Parts: sequence; structure tokens; C-alpha cells
Amino acid sequence: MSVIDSVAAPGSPPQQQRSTPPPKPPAEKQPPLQADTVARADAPLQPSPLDAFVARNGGAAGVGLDALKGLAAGDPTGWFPKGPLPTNATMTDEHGYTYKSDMFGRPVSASGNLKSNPNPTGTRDAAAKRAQANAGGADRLATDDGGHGLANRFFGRSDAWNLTPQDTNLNHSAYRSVENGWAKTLDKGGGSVTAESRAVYDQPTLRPTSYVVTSSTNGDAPTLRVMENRANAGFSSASDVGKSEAFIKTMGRVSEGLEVAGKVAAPLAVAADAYRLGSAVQQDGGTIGKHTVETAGSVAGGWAGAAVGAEGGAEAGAAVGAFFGGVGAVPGAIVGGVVGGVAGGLAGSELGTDTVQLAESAGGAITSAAKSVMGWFSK
Amino acid sequence: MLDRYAELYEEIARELQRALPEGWTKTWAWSEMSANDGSVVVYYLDAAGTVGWIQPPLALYDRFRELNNAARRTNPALVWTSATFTLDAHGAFDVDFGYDPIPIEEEADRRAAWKIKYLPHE
Repeated sequence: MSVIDSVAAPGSPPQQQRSTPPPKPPAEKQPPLQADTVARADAPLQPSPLDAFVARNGGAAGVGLDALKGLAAGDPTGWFPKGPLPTNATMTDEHGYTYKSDMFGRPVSASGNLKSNPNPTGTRDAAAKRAQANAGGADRLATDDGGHGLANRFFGRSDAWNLTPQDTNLNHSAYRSVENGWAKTLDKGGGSVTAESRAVYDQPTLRPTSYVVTSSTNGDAPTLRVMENRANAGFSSASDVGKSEAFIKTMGRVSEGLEVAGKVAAPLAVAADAYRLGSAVQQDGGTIGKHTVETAGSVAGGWAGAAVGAEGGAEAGAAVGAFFGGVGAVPGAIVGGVVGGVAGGLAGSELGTDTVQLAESAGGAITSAAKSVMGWFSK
Repeated sequence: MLDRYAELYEEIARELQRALPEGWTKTWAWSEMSANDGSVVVYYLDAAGTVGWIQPPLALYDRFRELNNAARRTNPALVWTSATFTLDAHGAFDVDFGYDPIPIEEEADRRAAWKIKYLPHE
């Protein structure tokens, strides 16, 4: 059973609608949560976990998801990323390379059988240089380059299909080393390389959090390589909390956007919770103090209900228990379990791939958020 | 921490079992990891004794990443840069760790040496 199935069939009429999500009870009024209570999916929690889940989400989760779909189309909240490409599009160019965009018009993959370009710089005109200098728009960091998915030296395009804001260190070290390896194979004569570079966006921005590059040389087993696009998201300890401000603001935009829309989808409520936790840590001066513990109690208590409905609910419940055993054990697992359940429900639903993709994107943001919170806690 | 290693080995085995085609008898997952990037490659042996390969699932990479992070937490001064996880169809497994530098550009050379060391000679 998935979270969605347990709450309402997608598309069913709203059980309640309101202009803002219902307020959560103050943290100190949350009953203490026992790990053994949560881990048993058949043990009823007070109040009913499903009621709590539904209430938390401003009505039926299905309605929230419909709202999300509408938001993606109209986006009155302004927090969905607006990529430069047509949405969900595929384009194959004269070199036989295939480029794809996601539902936000962001470049997501570039692939093909690589060919060496003997004159890479000569094929880059002023427009190409401009595109490279502006990739990522407002989400580009000062320390970013316009990074090619497939390099210009292989005839990769220098336009929005193939450019993302990429940390300059990554662009000039790991990513370039991968390309050097490919070039070595091609230049040996008779060597072949098939490659796909995927941009992974864990946050609702135009800046990828990582790249997944899969390549096969001379028909041998493919290497799957993951390269983190750190700088923006790369804070991993409490001493880095200052850097996390951008992240906290992003999560703030998420929760504010939801309030404007008046409907909250389950995955995004998690993001808002991660934001609350992050804020609490910051209030406590980057350590685990009173605010953090109170907020964590409230968040975990609220999600316990959802976890019961989620596939893998027991696992999520155990995670909640672990959370209280020592804060080091983290909301990440809770969030993962819940989001997994939600995504599972969506995959089988009639809402279609757009919504699934949207939920995945939201799920990515949440995972990233949770990881960040873990980072703070691990200090 | 040791428990977590055991769990991760089990998870790696599970990811491999999930991804491999039916009839495999033995498999080798080779991972290389540095702080901000890493890779994984998977070969297997089928019932006829032929070596094949699969597209490595991202989830398998994630497990190796977690294994590497666990090593980082345990002893930051000595973190493996390469790991070879060997598993047979009965569930027996073995893990080798390496600590040499892993320049990306020389991956092809390392792979050639790795294949000689681990895979049956073709």
C-alpha cells in the first residue's frame, strides 16, 4: 500500500480545502514517540496517523498532487525552475547526438557515439560563447563555468541543450579527465566511445547537483561515473552552515509557495519540514540545541503517520525510532521511506509521467534537504 | 559501524542480484571512489562460462559511495580508492580494497590490469 492509496485515490474530490495549510501543533505538545510503537505498522497512533497525514497535507494528497500539476503549468508561486528549453523534448542533431530536456525545460541528457572535432575552438561563435557564459541564469554561481554535457571537442553543442552551470573545478578536473580518456581512445584510431551525460537536479533550480556519465569504450562494459557539482550544495558540517543559507532560502520558497497555492502535496511537505529543521539548527547557532530537538520531535511525530501508510513503513518507522535514539540517525531515512511510498503510489497512478517526474523532482529536493540536515547533525 | 558494513555488503549483493540477467553464476563489481566523484563497472559469468556485462544501476553506485563514506568516517587517513566485490550465485562474496591513486584519465589501463586479475581469461 502506498501513501497515496491510503489517503485518497488520485483525482478524488477534496476532503477539505483551505487557503493555507493547517497549522501544526506546537512542538512541545507532541506526544513523545516510541520507536517500538512506530515500527509496528498495525499499532494505531493517537490521533489516527492517516488523519494526521491528511490534515498535514491540506486535504487529500491526491488533490495536492493535482495542484502540483497545475502549478507546474501555471506556476503562480514562481518557485518551479524555468529552463531555457522546450519541456520534455528530444532533439537529435547533425552529429547524431541526442539531447533531452525535462518538464521544466532543463537540459537533462546528451548522448551519442562520440566523434573527434579537429577544430573545437573554431566551431564556437559569439552566440556559443554567450550561451556558455550565461548557462544557468540566476542559479549560476560565481564559481561556475558553462559546462558542456558532451564537450565541444566531440562536436557537442554550445547551446542550451548541452550547457549547464558547472563548478569550474569540476569542469577543469574530473569532467575534463573523463573527456581526455575518451579522446585518447578515439585518437588511437579505430577506437569507439558511446557516452551519455545526464544532469541530475536535486533542487528546484537550473543548477545540476551532479552528473551521471555512462560511457563504453570499444564495446566493453560501461563505466557509470557520478560527479558531484559541489560549491552550492557541498556543505557537510555545521561550520558550513553559512553556506547553507541559499539552501534554506530555497526551502523557504518551497514552503511559501505551497501556502500561496493553498494545497500541499505530500512530498513537498517533507521539504518544508526539512526547511524547518534546517532553520531550527540555524537558530541554535549551528548545533543541536533546544530549537532543533523540539522541531525534530514535531516533524518526526507528524511523519510517523505517513510512514505507517508507506510501503516500507516499518523501515521508515524504525528510522523514526533511531532518530530519537541519537540525533545522528537522522530524518533522511524517514523522508526516504515516505517519499519512496509516495513515488511508488504515483508510478501506478493515472496522473501520468509529468506528475511522477514532478514528484521525483520534489523527492530529489527533499533527499538533498535531508542530506543537508544530516550534515548539520553529524557535526 | 561494522554492522553497517555488513548491511552495505548485503545491499550491494541485492542490487547486483536485481540487475543481473537470470542464469549468472558469478559477478564482479569494480568501484573507484574519490571525495567528489566515483565509478562502478559490473561484469558477470553466465552458465556457459561466458563473461558478460550489464549497465550498472545508479543504486549500486550509491551503495559503494556509502561504503566509501563509512570508511571516511572510520579512518579518514586511510580510505580505499578502489573496491572489487565478488559474488557467486550461492551468495558467497568477497571484497578487495585498493589504496592507490586513481587518475581518471588512466582508467582504461587500470581496467585492463583489473580484468587480468579478476576475470576468467577469455
